[in-house]
Amino acid sequence: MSQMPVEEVERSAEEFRKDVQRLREELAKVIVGHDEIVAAVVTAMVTGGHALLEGVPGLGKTMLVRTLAEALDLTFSRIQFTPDLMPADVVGTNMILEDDSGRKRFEFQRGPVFAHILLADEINRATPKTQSALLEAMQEHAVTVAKKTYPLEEPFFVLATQNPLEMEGTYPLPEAQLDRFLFKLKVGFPDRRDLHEILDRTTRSETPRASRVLSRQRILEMRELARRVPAARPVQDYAVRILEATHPESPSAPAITKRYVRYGSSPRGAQAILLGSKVRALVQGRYAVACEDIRKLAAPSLRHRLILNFEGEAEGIDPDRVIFEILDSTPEQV
Amino acid sequence: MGEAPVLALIHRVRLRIRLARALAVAARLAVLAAALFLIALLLAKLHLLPLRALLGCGLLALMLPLAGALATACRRVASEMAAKRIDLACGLDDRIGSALAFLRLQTPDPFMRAHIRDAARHATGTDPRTALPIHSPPEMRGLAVLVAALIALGVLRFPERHLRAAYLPQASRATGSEMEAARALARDLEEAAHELKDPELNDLTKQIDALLQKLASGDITRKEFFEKLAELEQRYLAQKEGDFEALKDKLRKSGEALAKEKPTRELGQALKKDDLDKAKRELDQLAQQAQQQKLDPAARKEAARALEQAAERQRRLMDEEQKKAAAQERALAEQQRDLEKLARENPPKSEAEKRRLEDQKRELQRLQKENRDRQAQRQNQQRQLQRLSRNLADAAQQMSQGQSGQAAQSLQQAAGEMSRIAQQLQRAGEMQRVKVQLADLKEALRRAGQQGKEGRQGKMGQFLARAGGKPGQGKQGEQLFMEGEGQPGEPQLLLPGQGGKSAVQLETDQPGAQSQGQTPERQPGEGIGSEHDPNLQGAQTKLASKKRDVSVEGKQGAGPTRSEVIYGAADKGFATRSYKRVYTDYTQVVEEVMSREQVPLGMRYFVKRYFNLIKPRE
Repeated sequence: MSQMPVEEVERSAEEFRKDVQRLREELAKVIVGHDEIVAAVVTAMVTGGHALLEGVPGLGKTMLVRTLAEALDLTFSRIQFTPDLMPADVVGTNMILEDDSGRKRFEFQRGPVFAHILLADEINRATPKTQSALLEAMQEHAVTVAKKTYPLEEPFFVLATQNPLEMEGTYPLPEAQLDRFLFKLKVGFPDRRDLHEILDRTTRSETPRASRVLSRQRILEMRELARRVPAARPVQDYAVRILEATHPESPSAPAITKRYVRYGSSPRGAQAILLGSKVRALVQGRYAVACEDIRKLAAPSLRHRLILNFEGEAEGIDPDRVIFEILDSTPEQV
Repeated sequence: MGEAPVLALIHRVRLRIRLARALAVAARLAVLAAALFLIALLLAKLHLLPLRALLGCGLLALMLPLAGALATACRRVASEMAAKRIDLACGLDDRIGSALAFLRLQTPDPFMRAHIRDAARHATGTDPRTALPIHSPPEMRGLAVLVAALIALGVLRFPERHLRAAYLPQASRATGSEMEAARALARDLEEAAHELKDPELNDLTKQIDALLQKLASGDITRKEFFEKLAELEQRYLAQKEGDFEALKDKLRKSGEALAKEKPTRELGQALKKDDLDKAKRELDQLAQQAQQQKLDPAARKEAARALEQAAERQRRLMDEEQKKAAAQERALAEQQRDLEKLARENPPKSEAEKRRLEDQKRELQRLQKENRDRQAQRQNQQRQLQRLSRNLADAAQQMSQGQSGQAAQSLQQAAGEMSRIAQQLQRAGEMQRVKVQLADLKEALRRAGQQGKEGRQGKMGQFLARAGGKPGQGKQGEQLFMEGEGQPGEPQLLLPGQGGKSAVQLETDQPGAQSQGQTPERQPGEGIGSEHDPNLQGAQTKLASKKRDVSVEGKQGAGPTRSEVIYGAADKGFATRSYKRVYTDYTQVVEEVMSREQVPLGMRYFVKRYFNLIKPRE
């Protein structure tokens, strides 16, 4: 790739943009509205990250993931997290099998995690033990059972959902696990026009279905291409300064950070911003990251990485408000 | 496509940023400068700021925005900043900024090169004016308001009383430049002396120089300076001016006698018209005719008769003049005796009376001295006239005796004498120029010396009081010139009543009204009384002082000289008729000059105001 001529780069980028466009068009056949959510999910998938979708039931989260799996030529699993769900139910377990000669042996029965796209539905309903089982898979793209590690086939993409309203009997995700998610996306309620469209589509005899538009290999190529998109030092510096501003002890932190934030984002936040920005730049037909990309991806990348202090929690401060104020107070150019 | 369009666009936008910054700074400074100039103009209108300072302020106000704009335009503008401006203004999503960053790398990768190419494509279609539109600075509105205020203030005319009050301190300001102006005038005088080849004027200028040096070094006071200057001027002009009118009058009367006969008619007409040059030529011609014996006996007889009559008339006039001079001398001597007698019989009691008496003595001495000077000068003229008269008489006698050659010689001598008199009169005309220069010199020094201890307003108040002929601070009545009386330039002293008591004494010696109703033997009783005071009206006013009726005869003449009039006006005010004549002459000349020359408006104001201040008071 480093020896690739400019024309080749331009052609690859154009194909990338068209492929993403086709994928989004296919998703749009099934999913009504939620353009930003769809774009962010696709971005997370292309970059190789995972996404946490937060929203009340019935907004199409599962439908989105399912449709994505259909549009891509990838395997799809869904796990409904419940309090009695065990780690083995997620990653799989060794089972004793007897062959024709009567000899018994252990054979690893793969769990639902062995898929390209995994929907972890209502992930906060499972116990932390079970949640942690997913941790290794998300981070290492591998599963270890009985001292034996089983790699997961790339691409591996986890889409978790959680209900923000029902707190009874839930186990909020620990900070370490939240940090594993590239983006946290808030699925909002559709507007009236979208609701009409949803009703029109779902109450007829034929249900719209998405066609497969991207192969697994193509997705891996796109991921590779996206990572080669450069970010000029001033633009990257903008991302770094935003990240610094999330820390209350930073001199560049605005007042709201100093007042309501206990701990700011880890460097993974900046990584998420930059990776997402690279994909967005290609989708927008550019060959380098812009500050606008950084701004657009700051909220989904950072909102689950900010840990509010007691005052912030008590006053119900939305992390998005903190992030927007950081964006307002951080100049693009020093 | 290379990086050239990107760099060119950045360069153009950098220039526009400099221009925009320079405009903004210039507008801010222009507001400040306009505000300062407005204040300066207001002060100038109130005459609290000189015109030169106002011009300086104007220049500063003009230079301040220009200098600020220039300094701002010279400041470096970072390319990154220009690139960011372009990206933001044109919605290029950091294409230009990132391209600039990639261009600075040594080995940009293919993605970077693709980005640079993409940025170049966008830069080609980008207009720097869109990237950085230059708007009118917001300060322009304030600037417009200030400029309007400046124009309004510029055309505004302040009331005269404001001008007058504001101008007073400036008018009485004494500066070194005015002393310099006085020295320059003294130098002009020196040049005039050189030009006229007049050793006496040369001496006068040297003495004035010495006086100026003494004044500058503080060896003499300003009052002493003016006194000495007046003395020098008077002495010089007494030698030069003379009573040429009397001389002309005598010549005119002798001309009347000559004009009666045909051979000497032209000569007589020339003398009647004061054309002495023509008279000299006619005498020369008559001498030539006598020499060549062109005159027939009848003509010779007529010429001899006319010349005889002219000589006789001149002699008679000279005798009359001598008698008058003697009478004047006697009158002055008599006045002096009267004054001494008055002082002896009624010695002054109060300080004011003593001072007044001394002033009168001094004035009398001054008049006597002037009379003596005039006599000396008159004697000189009389000698010339006697020579002319004698020559004419000789010529007449020789002509009647038929001695044509000798008659011609006498006539030539008379022509020579006539020529000398003509030259003298011409020099008297040139003296007018010297007198004007002396007057200018005094005026310059007077202006330089108007910085008094009492403050400028007080000085101007005194000036205005004196200008109207009112007393300034107690010098009333010291000197009094009687216009139109006596000989030209001959003032006459007004004496108080000569009854052994002064007017003041007369008032104080009479108990009169002060003792009315207060008889010493009657004590005031109780109650309101039943009858009035028998001495209700007081004693009759006694006018027992010795008095003498003095008949003052009005005499024709030019009156006091101009220098005397101006000097007197400066001291006593502008309420005399002779000063009015001087003023009229001066203003006519000034009006002509000011209409002829390109005089700046501000200077015209000063000139006109000056003449307004010194105009005659009714």
